[in-house]
Amino acid sequence: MRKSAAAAIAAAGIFAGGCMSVETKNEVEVKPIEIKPMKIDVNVNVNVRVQKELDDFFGDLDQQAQQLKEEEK
Amino acid sequence: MKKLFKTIIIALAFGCTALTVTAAAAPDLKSVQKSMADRLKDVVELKTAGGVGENNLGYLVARDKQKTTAELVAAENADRKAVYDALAAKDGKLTSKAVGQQRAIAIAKKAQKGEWLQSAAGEWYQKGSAADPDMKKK
Repeated sequence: MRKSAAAAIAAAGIFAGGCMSVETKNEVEVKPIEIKPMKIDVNVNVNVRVQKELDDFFGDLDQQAQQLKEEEK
Repeated sequence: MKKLFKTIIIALAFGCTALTVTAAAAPDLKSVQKSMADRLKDVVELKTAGGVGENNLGYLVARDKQKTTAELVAAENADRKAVYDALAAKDGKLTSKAVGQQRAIAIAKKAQKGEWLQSAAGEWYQKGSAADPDMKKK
């Protein structure tokens, strides 16, 4: 009777230990989800910045091209 | 003290040399812009006639080789590459290819009906046609 009680306590201890390790894994999985929005923000900012640089360079050329197209019609 | 002074002079000399080399290697974007403006009329005519199309990397591609000249396409693309390279180097985070792709999106938006364009998936279509991805969305 005492042996089986000791075995039950030991099993409960192992089970509790298992639960604790599952909790630790969950914490690790959450971290990348927090980082994702930051990466998207950086990409959007870079694209907006480059688009502005492209507009600065090609703006006049694009405008002239539109005028030429209108004249051709 | 003399040794320190000598070291500073040498460092300044190296710095000036590095700056000169960098300036010489970087293309003069003003002259690139001017040469693009000089051939703009020919490029517009070719696009309207269907002789050339705009690919999804921001470069011209000959569609009808009887209507276009390889020299014109090569010269235009060389100038565009110089611009994309310069902007990528200035940004420091994007590649020249990514800058060209960004430009291709703007070109497609500004294109007129009938001009040849390449979709992001690589398929060629005429703006405003049934194959135009924007027309499919509507």
